[in-house]
Amino acid sequence: MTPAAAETRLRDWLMRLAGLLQHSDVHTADLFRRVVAGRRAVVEIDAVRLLVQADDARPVTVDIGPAAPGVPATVRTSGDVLREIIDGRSLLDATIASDRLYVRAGLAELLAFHELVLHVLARAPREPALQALWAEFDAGWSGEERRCNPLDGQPARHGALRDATPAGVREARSPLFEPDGPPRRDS
Amino acid sequence: MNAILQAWELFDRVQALRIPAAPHAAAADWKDWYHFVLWQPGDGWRVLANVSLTGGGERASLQYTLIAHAPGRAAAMQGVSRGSPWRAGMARAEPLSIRSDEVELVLRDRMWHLDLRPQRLDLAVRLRARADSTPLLVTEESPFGNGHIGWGLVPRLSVEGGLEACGQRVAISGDWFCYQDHNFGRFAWGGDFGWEWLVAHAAAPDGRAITVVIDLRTDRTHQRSGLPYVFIIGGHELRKVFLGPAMTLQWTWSDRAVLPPRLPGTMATLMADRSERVPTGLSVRGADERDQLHLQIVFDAHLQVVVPDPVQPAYTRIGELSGTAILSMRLDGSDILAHGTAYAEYTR
Repeated sequence: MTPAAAETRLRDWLMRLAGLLQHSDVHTADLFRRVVAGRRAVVEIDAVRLLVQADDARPVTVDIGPAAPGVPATVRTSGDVLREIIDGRSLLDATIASDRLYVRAGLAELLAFHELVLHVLARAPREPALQALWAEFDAGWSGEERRCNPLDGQPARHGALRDATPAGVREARSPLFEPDGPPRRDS
Repeated sequence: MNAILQAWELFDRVQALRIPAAPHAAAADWKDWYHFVLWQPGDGWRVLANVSLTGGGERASLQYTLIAHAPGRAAAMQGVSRGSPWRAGMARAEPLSIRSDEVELVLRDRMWHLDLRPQRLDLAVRLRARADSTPLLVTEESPFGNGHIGWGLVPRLSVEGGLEACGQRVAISGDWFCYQDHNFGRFAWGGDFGWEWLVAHAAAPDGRAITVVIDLRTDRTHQRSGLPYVFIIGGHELRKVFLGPAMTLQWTWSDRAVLPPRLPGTMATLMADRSERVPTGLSVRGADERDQLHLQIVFDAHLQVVVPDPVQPAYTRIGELSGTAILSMRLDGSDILAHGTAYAEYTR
């Protein structure tokens, strides 16, 4: 697949994902709006870089196009790391702790994004369209042909600092989900 | 001849697909799955393979799980659990076949052909297995959660094939032990049900081989239970059944909560903050006026398969455990002490 073709395919998949989340149940759509409305992010997967931006309307309009060179990525990973999460080689937080999935944003945005991802994972078994979208990505996006999938190293190794953090802090919810969330910052 | 015919007829009844073979015809709460457990005796490979169909129109799905435990290192596991849409033509009742890009399960002339080959993974199993013991049809429509379940099994099969796991290629040959069962029914995952199940296979120094299969249906919390079944298979024949009050199952648990490996990966991430104490051992005792059994198992591998319901936001977590087994029993006036391997499940 040429870089241009890869960019087009990734854009189409992300647009479909945004559409599925916006037109899913009310709760999912609301989570999605609170996470993306009025924000922009550079998503980089296997060196294919896209600028994802959403307006502040109801419902939000998502626009995805090429990212300008030199703009740092907000989310950077590879197709194989995403496959590792889906196949159970690593938990999501383990891929972040090991820097194989890089995300950069304010704490409120990160917590909200994490909650949206978990919500989507929870809904996926009941959403054939989400499953089909993943299957298309998995089949169509390049990667290693025969990966090992050990299951013993799933959890993240955060170290003593994180382990000693009170559970109440670790389980904090993003203020974006408060009825009147904090003023939004462009990320 | 009549006995052989009856055994084959029973085998056919155990294995018959109960879910309607057309996905659009199967209600969403239908489930039908074929489960194989096999291992190399001694401290060898252990393999679980499970192929299931779940009904429900556009939500109908074909799912499979394949887990391989490498020998020599406790809990060194390769595995995957995946699903794909179940479309018309992928399942047939007669002859039984379930096929997708990654799955082929066929029952032809009463020989199982199983081929699981997850795309992009260095993990695969290929089996040809034939019943080598009397099949047992235990239940067909037992109450279970909000519905019912059926369960039939073949305690021992002769098996050959091959296993591929992360660069290792292993021949599955006649010395492997293989067990297979078939569950079918209508219920919602995550309901108020549970089970404790195991198969153990052990050999005595004089070469006598004993297979033990135990099943106990419970509520979700395991506080209430039905009567346990314990089947003792000596060689290739059912030799003894212990039932109900003649049995006790006593699990031992880890001192502290741990985060067990889970499949599929999406469910593992979803439950990343859910640590729990895990089974470390099981002691099973059975006795009646003639015979006695004591089976002690020490688990050295544990993984949870999390099964989400396709309709409701609910899950059943199936703990998959394996380890070493010591069996001491008195059967028909003869004392047996045997060592082997066990594979067990404990649901949450």
